[in-house]
Amino acid sequence: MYLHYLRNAGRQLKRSPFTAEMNIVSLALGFTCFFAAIAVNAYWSLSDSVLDGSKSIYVLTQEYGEGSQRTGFRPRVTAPIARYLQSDFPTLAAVARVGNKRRWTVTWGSQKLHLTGARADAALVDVFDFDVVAGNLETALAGPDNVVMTSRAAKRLFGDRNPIGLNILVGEDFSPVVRAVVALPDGPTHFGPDEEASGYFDFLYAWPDESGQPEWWLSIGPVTYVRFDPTVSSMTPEILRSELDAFMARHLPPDQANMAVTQLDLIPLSQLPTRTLDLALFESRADSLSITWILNLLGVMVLAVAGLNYANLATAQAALGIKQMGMRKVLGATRLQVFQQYWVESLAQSVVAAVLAVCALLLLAPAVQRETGIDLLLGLSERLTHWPLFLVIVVVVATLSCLLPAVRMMQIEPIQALRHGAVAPFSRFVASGLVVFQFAVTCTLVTLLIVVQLQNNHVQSSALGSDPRSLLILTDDDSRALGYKSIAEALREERRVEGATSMDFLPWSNHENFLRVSREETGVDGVQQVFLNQVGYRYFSTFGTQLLAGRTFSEERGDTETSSLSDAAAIGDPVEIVVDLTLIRLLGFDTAEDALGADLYLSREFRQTLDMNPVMTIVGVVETRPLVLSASGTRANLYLLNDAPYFYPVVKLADGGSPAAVRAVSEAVQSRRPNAMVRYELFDEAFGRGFAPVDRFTKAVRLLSVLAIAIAVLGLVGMAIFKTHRRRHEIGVRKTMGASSYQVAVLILRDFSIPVVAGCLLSLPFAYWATQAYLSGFIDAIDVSVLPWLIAVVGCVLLSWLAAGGQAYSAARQLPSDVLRSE
Amino acid sequence: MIELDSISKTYMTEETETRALRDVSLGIATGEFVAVMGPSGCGKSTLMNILGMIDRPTAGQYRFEDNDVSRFTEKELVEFRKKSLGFVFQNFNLIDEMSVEENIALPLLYRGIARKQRKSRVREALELVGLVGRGRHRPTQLSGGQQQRVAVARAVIADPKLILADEPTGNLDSANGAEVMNLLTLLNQDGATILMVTHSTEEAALAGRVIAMKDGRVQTDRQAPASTES
Ligand SMILES: Nc1ncnc2c1ncn2[C@@H]1O[C@H](COP(=O)(O)OP(=O)(O)OP(=O)(O)O)[C@@H](O)[C@H]1O
Ligand SMILES: [Mg+2]
Repeated sequence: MYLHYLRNAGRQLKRSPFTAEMNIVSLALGFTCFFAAIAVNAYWSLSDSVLDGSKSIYVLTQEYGEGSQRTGFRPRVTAPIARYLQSDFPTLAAVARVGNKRRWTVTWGSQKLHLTGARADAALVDVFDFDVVAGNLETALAGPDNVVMTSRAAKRLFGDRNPIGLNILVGEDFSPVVRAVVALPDGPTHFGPDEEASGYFDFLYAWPDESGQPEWWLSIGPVTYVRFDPTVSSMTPEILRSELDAFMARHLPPDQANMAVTQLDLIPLSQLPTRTLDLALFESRADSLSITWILNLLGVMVLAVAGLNYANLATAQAALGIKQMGMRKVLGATRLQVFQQYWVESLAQSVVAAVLAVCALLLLAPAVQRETGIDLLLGLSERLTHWPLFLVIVVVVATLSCLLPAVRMMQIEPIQALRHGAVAPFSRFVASGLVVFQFAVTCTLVTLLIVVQLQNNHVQSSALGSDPRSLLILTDDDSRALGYKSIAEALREERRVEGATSMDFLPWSNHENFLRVSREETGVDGVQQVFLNQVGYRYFSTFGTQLLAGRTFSEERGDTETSSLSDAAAIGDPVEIVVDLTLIRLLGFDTAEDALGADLYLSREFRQTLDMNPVMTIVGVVETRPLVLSASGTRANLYLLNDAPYFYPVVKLADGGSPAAVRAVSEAVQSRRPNAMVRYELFDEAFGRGFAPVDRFTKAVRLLSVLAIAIAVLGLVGMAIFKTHRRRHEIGVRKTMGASSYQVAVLILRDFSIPVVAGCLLSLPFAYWATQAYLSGFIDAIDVSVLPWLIAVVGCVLLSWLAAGGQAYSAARQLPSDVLRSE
Repeated sequence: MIELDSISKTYMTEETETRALRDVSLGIATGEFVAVMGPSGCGKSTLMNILGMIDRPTAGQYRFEDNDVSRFTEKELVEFRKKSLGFVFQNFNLIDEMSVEENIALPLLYRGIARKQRKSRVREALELVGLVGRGRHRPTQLSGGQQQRVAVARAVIADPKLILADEPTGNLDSANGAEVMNLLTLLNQDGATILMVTHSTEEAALAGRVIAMKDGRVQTDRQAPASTES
């Protein structure tokens, strides 16, 4: 019997190959999206699973702030926590930190490389069972002058030579000896192999002894790993988590506890990559919003659109097959058998679609891996081991898709079905309802797509300014040690360079140097949180930041740099500062001019903890132009003239920048430091790096939305074919009665547009909600009007005309005699 | 075999109500060949549909071999139809996407008969209607008469007790019509009970009994003298 149904499904395919293929293609697209979402999530969840005992390794997270100014739980905690944790909970198997990560210039003989190095506790080897290639890992992290290298880095630096015992130079004055080489496991881990991975390192060296040093708890610290050992102690992650509040209360110094609210938590190691991504995308809302479920939601939405498509076309097809169904019923088909027939057909198409989807993913996987580093195959094969689950999904989709026509056909009386055209199998309302629903979803996605795009353009244009490729940020140790003034000096004769300045952090990186300031001398009321930017001369002109009132820092005027706020406070002179418009507004000044000459003070807690009380006088007000993408609710900026070694020199190239100009800068640095390996980022590249997670997320949303739209349009084409086919007779009669082709085409298109327009109108609240949810994550969100939605509506209607247009055209042009004769 | 007792059928449409059958009472014995005649709209098809259990009467009792059909549930009706009835329609109602063989085998399929047996019985049926060698054709590749013979084969394949034919020759020319009529008489001689709607007195003459209807009532019901001869 099932064979018969299957053969029947095959016949259906032969009879109307176009619609059946369309069904399969749209379902396949839906499954592709859905499976891709599953595979991506699976891939992320697999992170670090290749490491031994990864299930019992956890990472501490910490959050600062409260209310709207929260950082979200970040997987980096303040440095002293590890030590106290180990002493408070001796039953933990191991606690270890990795931190102070940065790129170093590493020299061995004549070989010079940029390598990523980080400090690590000796106990790290108790947390992770690294695969030791050479040397002794147990002792390697114990001594201050030792390093552990990854086999990949060792190979690059030493070639095939045995690295153990070799002496290398790290930066300027650190010359440790290689004591061990470890091979990082293949497969996704947070250690790599991608350099963008959150835990990537080329070499590790010991953490210095910090006992007796002052403890600063309110700063971003190292990644802190905790390993549990269920075989030796009853300590579990749950128990530890419940103890964390008390732990914090015990150890956080009271003066620092006054300054900020902070909390600890714990996540499994496998969640580290998604947590990192969530924080980059959603910041403090990462606790409630996760890329994982957004991806799943989008996948399900696309699949739903595809399923609706199927239901729609199957319903239309059922209308054509109604007589046949009636005959089958007369011949003895039971209701169950009628249902089975539809179900098997739907199931067969779904299975084919699912198989096609898997094939598509196999084909797409290499490209996806190249673009995003995500190995879909790995994720998919992981999930395919749960293949019964996939089967269930396919069966559910097939069942839901065929439910409507199948149930209706079950109910139809044979006599009604046989009497030609006596019953419409469905009220027009049902078929239209499906289209309405489908276009409500589609229109929401299109609106979101437009807003996401607008916001991206806005972020890019406001962040990058007019000429991003003329800004060169020098990032290597030599250039940074040299400082921007020396570099400017060396470039004095160079006409391809306009000038140089410096800043204290890499633009678009996770820099968070906050101050809390107030207009009140007491520092109690009206306290605002600001970014502290320490900048060189010509900073504002270099970045093209507009001056709104007063002046900026000027060498000619003899503005002197304070080496730090505390030095200035010690001398007792007021410190001259430039602030941005956002801070002026927050502090309650009416205009930029009003703020000039006003004094600002540190908040009382900051004053106590930093043990200083500088007076800061506003000398200039500039437009708001943060060089960070996300800042946990902080938007205002305060600029201080300061230059210290290892700040980042920024060079402005003339005429929009050129490779020759970049080379000239390199050579200028090397003229002062012959061994320097100059490394730089153009401003837009730096932005690209910081913006990458948002960008990838946007791309995913775009791809999925475009697919959903394509599926919906495909469905409309199918509907158009059916409906016009069914109306051929009517059209023939109308034309005999004198209707023009134009009138017929308009009639058909109007009928099509009504449910599409209804669906689009219905999408307004959903579109509003979705765009607001998306935009609330940006420091500088655009104001959206109803315009993007209107554009989406018009776009959807035009698309539907495009889909139905061909059919309307051919139906309108048909000769009435052709139809009437064949009827 | 069949007993209709005061069967009425009323169609309610928006404003008017059509009384398609009014108090029809009649009995049909096993082995009879009955022709139903009458002007268009007099209720012939309605009667056939009620006899075929694909429509329900508004009032009256319908007994089939001592079962009160009018009280059957939907499920019992399906079962009963499968066991006892075969249908031939004016417009054939073959399924175009299936081959001739498959069309004929369809009733057996719904009766859960094994594949092997299905094959042999389809062959027999094809022989009976004289279409051996056409089994793999599509209905659309056959002439009207041939299509109707396929429909007849489909109607008889499951050995129904009663064959209902609603204007089986209505869409056929006289030569093809004669072929189908031959077939029906043959089946009747083999013992099948047949009820046929027709507009042709010649065809009606082939039946053993002619029922004439008018305005939803049986007007005359008489045994044809020719029945014993042919
Ligand atoms: N579904 C229905 N709804 C309303 N009225 C109906 C319906 N089916 C049949 N009728 C009416 O019932 C009456 C009998 O119809 P029926 O089809 O039985 O006639 P018939 O004798 O078979 O005619 P013909 O020789 O033209 O086939 C007609 O007046 C018809 O209009
Ligand atoms: Mg009739």
